[in-house]
Amino acid sequence: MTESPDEYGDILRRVLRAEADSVVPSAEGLEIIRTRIEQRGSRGIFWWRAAASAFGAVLVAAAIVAFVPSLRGDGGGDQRSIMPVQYDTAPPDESSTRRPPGNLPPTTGGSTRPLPASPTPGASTMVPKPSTLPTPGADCATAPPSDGAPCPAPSESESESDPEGRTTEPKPRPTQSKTPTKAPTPAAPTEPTPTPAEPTPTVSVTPQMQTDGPSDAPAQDQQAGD
Amino acid sequence: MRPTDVTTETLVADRSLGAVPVGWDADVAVTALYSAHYRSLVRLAVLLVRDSATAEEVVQDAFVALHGAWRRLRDTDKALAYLRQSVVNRSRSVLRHRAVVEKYAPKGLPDAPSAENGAIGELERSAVIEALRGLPARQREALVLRYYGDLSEAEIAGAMGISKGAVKSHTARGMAALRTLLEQLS
Repeated sequence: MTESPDEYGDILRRVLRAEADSVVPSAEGLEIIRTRIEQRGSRGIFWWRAAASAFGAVLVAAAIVAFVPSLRGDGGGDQRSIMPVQYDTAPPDESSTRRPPGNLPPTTGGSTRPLPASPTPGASTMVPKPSTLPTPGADCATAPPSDGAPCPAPSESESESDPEGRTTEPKPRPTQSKTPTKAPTPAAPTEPTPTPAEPTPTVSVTPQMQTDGPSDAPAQDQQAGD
Repeated sequence: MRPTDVTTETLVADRSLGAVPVGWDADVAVTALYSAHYRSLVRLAVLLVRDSATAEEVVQDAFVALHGAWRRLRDTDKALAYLRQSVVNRSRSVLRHRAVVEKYAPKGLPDAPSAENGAIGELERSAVIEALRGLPARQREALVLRYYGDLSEAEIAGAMGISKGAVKSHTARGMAALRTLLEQLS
């Protein structure tokens, strides 16, 4: 194996040598190489300049952001303001879902919630309800949700309020009609008293009844107990 | 046995140019290497790419690359090895590109043999060259570097980027493929 390549190696060497000798490179090779080197150098300088300019622009932008506090403060302030709003907006969302049933007015009793703004229009809306009072049967279906509406837990209040709703149906309406007038002054003192009377039904219901009519609250409690 | 009439221009750095001085500038080094090895490198490239014009471009690109990498070249004595490896790699790229072009280009008439006088008949030499061109690229590179460049296996391995064992394998296979033609010439 090793001998055969060497045997024919001389022949192959001569063939290759003869073929290579037939090639005569041009005399301008060195000039061409120098020209290409110059072109490459100028190209390199161009890219260096481009990179330097880009780096300078980035540096200036970073310096501006670093030394101008307003640019940095704006972003942080927005985030801080957003967080508490989200946290506080949770309860209003619940009340808003209950608004469609049309029971928002009773929420006037829940002065603790942020919705008291709605109670005033709610009170105005409640005024028309008394006009529908003559039909007790229909009102019974609507009245319970109205009592449970202000409460955070709609399902519980509705299920439990069925018996209560029947009894309270006539009361809340007159009380609600009375609330806009009576509620402002006695609301605060009456709140503590009714809450112990009705612990479970719904905390929200009790405040409504309390706010609606401080004087009516004990009467409702008695009826509910009945 | 290598013939004694091997041309003075050789691809081994220390034989002709000697060690490139460390303090040389890139321009000076390129000029010195050009005067000493440009022709031999062009002829080596011609045997690889089969085209003198393309071979010159390949070698010129190698010199330009050497100029750009001169500062990163720690051992300036290996400047010629760098040039040789660059020529081999660029020749591969040329052949690769050419293969793609020829694949989609219309086929023309075969090249006419050049008028060349020598110890070996023109037809036989052309037949060997054609057979050499028909070999796989690695086998052709190994044979050209071995029998035209007179490089050792280690130098061939460095230029081709393969191991010495692979160099032996490619050389043996290439010679086996050319054996029938070489037997006729002998």
